Amino acid sequence: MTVTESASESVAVPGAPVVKVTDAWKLHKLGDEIVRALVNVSLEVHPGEFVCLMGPSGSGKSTLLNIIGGLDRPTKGTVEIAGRDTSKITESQFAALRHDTIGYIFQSYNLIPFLSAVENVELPLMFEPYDRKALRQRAIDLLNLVGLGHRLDHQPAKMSGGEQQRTAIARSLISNPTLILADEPTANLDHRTGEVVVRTLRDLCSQLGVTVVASTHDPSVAEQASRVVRMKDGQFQAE
Amino acid sequence: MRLTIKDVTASQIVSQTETSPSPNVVLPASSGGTFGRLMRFAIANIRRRPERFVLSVLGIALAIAAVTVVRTISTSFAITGGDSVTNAIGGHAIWVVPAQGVTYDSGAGALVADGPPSDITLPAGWTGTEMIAGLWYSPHGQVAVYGVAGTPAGKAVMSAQLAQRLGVSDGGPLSLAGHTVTVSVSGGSPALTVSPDLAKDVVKNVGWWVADEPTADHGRNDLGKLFGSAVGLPFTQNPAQTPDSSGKGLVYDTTTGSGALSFAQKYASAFSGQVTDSTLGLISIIGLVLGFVIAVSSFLASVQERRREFGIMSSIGLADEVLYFFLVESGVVFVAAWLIGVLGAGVAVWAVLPHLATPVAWAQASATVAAFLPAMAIVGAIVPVHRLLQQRPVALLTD
Amino acid sequence: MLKYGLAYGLLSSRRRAREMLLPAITIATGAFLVVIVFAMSAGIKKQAAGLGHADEIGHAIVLIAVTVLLVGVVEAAVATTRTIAHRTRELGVLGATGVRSRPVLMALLVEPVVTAFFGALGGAVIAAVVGAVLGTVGAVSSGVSAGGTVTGIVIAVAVSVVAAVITSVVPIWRAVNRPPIKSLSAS
Repeated sequence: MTVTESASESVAVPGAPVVKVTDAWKLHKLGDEIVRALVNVSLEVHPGEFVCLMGPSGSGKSTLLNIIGGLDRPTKGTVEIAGRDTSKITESQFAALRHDTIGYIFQSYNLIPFLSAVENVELPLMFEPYDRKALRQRAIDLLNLVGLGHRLDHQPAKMSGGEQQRTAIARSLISNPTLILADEPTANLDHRTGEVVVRTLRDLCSQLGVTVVASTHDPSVAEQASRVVRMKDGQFQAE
Repeated sequence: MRLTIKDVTASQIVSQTETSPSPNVVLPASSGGTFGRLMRFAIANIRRRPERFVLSVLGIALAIAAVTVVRTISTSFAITGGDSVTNAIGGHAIWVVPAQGVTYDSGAGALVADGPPSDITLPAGWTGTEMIAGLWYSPHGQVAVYGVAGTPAGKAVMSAQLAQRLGVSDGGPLSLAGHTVTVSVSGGSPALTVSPDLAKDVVKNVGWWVADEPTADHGRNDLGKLFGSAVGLPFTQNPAQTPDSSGKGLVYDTTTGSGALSFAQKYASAFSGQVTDSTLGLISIIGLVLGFVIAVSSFLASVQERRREFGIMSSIGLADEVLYFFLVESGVVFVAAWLIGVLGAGVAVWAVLPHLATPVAWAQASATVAAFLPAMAIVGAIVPVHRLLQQRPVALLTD
Repeated sequence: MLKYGLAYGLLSSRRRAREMLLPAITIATGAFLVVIVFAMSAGIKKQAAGLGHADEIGHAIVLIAVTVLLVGVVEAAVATTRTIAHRTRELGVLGATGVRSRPVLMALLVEPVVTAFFGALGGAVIAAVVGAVLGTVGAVSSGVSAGGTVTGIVIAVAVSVVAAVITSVVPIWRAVNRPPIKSLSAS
C-alpha cells in the first residue's frame, strides 16, 4: 500500500472498519518513571457507529483517541484509518489524512483566538484553493446546523463554552470527514450545554452517516452512544 | 513511595503511587531569613527555565556592553589626552601656542607644535621659556622631540617605555638625526627631551612658550589676561578655542578650571573631539535607555507568561512576596547582565584598541554603568508587578 | 498552498497587532541605536582625522557599530522567540486540523518578519529625525551625515529582519514536525 501526500487518492478498502487499532501500546516518560498510557489495546470501529470510550482520568482514553487521529504516535502497534496503515507516514502526510478524513473536537475547544466563528469553521479548508464564497457559505450553513447562526462574526472570547464547542463541531465537519474524534467534548461545559453538544454529535452520526468516537467520563455522553468501551489503566475492561 | 524503573518490560513496570508524609510533624524553619528564601526561590525559577533567563540577561548584557565600550573609549581618549597635555606643558600657568596650532600625534603619543614659537618677550617678573616640540621620524616610527632649556647638551631624556621602543639603554648612545647623544632614562613622558638647540636641529623650529606668573600675582584668576595684554596676544581659558592662523599665537590660561576638570582634561576632550566626547556621551545615554527598555519589556513578557503562578501566590495571600520576588529576580538578572556586559566590553576594547584603552578607563565606565543599575532594576521590576497586582487573582488564574 | 499561508499570516498580523507592539518596540530601540551610531560616525571620523586620531577612532567606531548591531540582532531574536513560544498552541491547532507543514511555516513566519520590519523601520526613522534635529540644533558638533543615516537605516532593518527570520524558522519548523499533541498541550 503506498502512502502519498494527497489523501484524496485514498486507498480505502471497501467494507473495512473506519478505525482499526491493533495491539497498540503507548509508553512515555514522566521524570524518571515510565507511564503506561495504553497497554495492548485493540479496537475496531465500523461506519456509522457512535463509540464512547469511558473511563476515569489516566485511563488512556484520550491517548487512544490521539493515536487514532495521529496527534500522537503509538510506541508499538498499528492504527489503520479506512484500511490505510498509518504507522509509517510522516507528520505532514498524517496532516493530509486528518484533513480529508478526520474531524477533531477538543476538550478545550482549541479555536484560534483572533478568528471569528465563521473563519474558525473555515480554517481546515482555508489553505486549499476552494472558491472563497462557496467556502464561506458552507461554513455559515454548518454554523446554522449547530444553532450558531447568530454568532458568525464573534471571536471565541465573546462566546460561551458551549458555543465555542459547537463552533468546534462545525469546524470538524467542514471537510466532510468520515470520522469525528471528540476528546472529552463536554468536560468544560455545564450539564445542560453538554447534553446539547452530545445530542448534536449523535444527530450528526445518524443523519450524516459520520462515525464518531468520543472519550469521556461523563455518563450522559455514554447514554447517547451506540457502543460503550470502558477503559482503566490503559486497558479495556469487560462490560 | 515512588519507584524508579530501569527496565521497560511490561511485567516490571508499575504505576506510580504516592504515600503522603506523616502529618503532625513540625516543619523546621529554614536558614537565611526572607532574603535568603527569596534568593533560593529565584534561583530555582531560573533553573526551571534557563533559556528565558539566558535570553533576558543576554539582551541586557549586550546593551550594557555597548554603553561600556562607548564610555571606555571616551574616557580613554580623555585620560590619554589629559596626560599628554600635562606632559607637554608640565603644569605651567601659561601656555602660548603658535598661530598654526598644535596637534596630538598618535604615532608619537604626544602633542607637537605645527608652527614656530610665538615671537614674544616675557613681561617683567614672569618666568618662562620657549619649548621646541616637533616630530622626529625615527627608524622606529614617529617620536616627539621636546627641546627644554636646561637639558644638558648631548643628553637625551626619555621614559623607559620610549627607550625600549627605540632599542636603547640608559647611558647608552642614541643616534638622533646625525647627532649622537647619551640616553638618560627617567620619567614617564612619551617625548624625547633634549636641549633646545639640538631639538631645533632635529625637528626644525616648531614649538611653544610656557610661563609662570610672578609670586606677587599668585592666585589671581586673570593671569591669561595679564600675560596676554602684556605681550599683545589674544588670551583664553577655554581649551576648545584654537588660535587664529593668521595671527601670532594664542595664550591659554591653564590655572583656571571650572568644575572638577583640569585644563588638561578639558583640552584633551577638545582635541580628541568635544565632538567625540559629546557624541559618544549621547550614544552611551541612548544605550542605557535601550538597556532599560529591553529589561522592562523582558520582565513584562515574563510576567505575562507566569500569570497563573503569581495568581496562585496572590490568592494564597502572598501578594507582597510577589513584589519582593520580582525585585530579587530583577536584581539577579541585572547583576548577571552587568558582569557579562562589562567583561565582554573590556575584552572587546582591549582586543581592538590595545594602545588607547586603559584599565582605568574601563573601570570608570563600568562603575558609571553600575551606578544606574539599582534604579533600572527597581523600576524594571515595579512596572510589570504593578500591572500584575492590579488584576484580581481570579483573572490571573483563568487562562 | 503557500499563498494561503501568506494570507493567513497577514490576517493574523492585522488581528494580533496589539501583541506585536512590545516586540516591535524592543526591535525599534536596537534599530534606533544603530542608526544614531552610523549617522554620527562619518562626522566623527572626519574630525578625528584632522586631530590626528584617525586610526584609533576608526577602529573604535567599527567596534561600537558591531556591538550595536549585535544588540539589534539579539533584541530581534529575543522578541521573536518569545512570540513564537506564545503561538505554539495555534500551531498545534493548524496541524490538528490538517494543514500541511509548509503552509503553517509560512503562516507563522509572516508576523515576525512584519514585526521586525516595521519595528526596525520605525526606530530607524525616529533616530533619523532625532539625528537631524540634533544636527541642526548644533548639539552634535561633529555633524550628522545623511549618507550615514541612510546606511544605518538600511543596515538596521536588514539585520533585524534577518535575525527575526532565522530565530523563528528553527522553532516553527521543529514544532511543525512534531506530533501536534505536543504543541496543543503546551501552556
